[in-house]
Amino acid sequence: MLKKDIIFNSVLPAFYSVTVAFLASLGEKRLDAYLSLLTLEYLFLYTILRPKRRKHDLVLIALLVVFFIAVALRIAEVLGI
Amino acid sequence: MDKLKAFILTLGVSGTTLAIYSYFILGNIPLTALGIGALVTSASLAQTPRESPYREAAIAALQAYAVNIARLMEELSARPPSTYLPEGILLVPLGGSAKPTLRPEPDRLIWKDTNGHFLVLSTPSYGVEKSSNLESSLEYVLVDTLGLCDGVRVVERDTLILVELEGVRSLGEPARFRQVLGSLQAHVAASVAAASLNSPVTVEGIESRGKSLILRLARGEGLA
Repeated sequence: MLKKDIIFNSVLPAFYSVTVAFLASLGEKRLDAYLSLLTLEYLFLYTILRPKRRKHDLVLIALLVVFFIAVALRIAEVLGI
Repeated sequence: MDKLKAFILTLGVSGTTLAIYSYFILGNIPLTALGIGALVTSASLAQTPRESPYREAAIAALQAYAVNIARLMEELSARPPSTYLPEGILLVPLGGSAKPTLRPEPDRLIWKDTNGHFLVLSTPSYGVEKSSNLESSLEYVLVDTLGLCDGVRVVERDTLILVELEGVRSLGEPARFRQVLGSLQAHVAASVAAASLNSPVTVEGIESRGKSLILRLARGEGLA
């Protein structure tokens, strides 16, 4: 693995652990809040480090899809749809 | 199954189990998020290629290329500095250290111009586009495609270009090759630089600092 790939795969779980611990300490109970932050952190690290992928980054695509669905559901809830 | 694959599988299964159990049985959202995080990490590890067999084959081909070039340069008493042209041609002075003034005719092995004789060699273009960003091109070829180093940094000042190659691995090039063209990394970097800058490039100096290599390249004017 390239050095940047090792850094990405080491820093990502560290970020996730800190984020989950922080949100849990604040008493956050909404799963979409956790997922949104996990997605943003993945996107942030991906943009900075540009890790090598076999083909397309399916994890990023899946996270973005889940993120948009969560946002759409939240908007629908707010609008009362 | 090797250790990394076993780790990825374990992490993925553990994360999935934790997420499902925490959400449906325990009703604990933070643990669910932690499970999903573990699953995402294992998916990221699974998607990261290790050493591509094609990369090792490419490096083996480059090493054989270096041996052949070294023999030719030994036979013909080639000397530095070499001039890399943007169209994938390398001109190596024979019996002197002059710079070429004329563009060689196609398909010639030995080229004679006003400054002396030159050995004419072809260098691969690696798919680099002319006038592209130099640092991106070098990173694409040296780091991403061939894995010859871990990182690239470029500083340009007028006609002088400083290229730092980080985490350079030794490839065991023959002594003559190193003497005339530098290491394979330096040779590939100069070739890519000439193509990317769309102008002739000469390797003025190579300095080794630990695992890093610093190349001093001079950008020249086009040949007639």
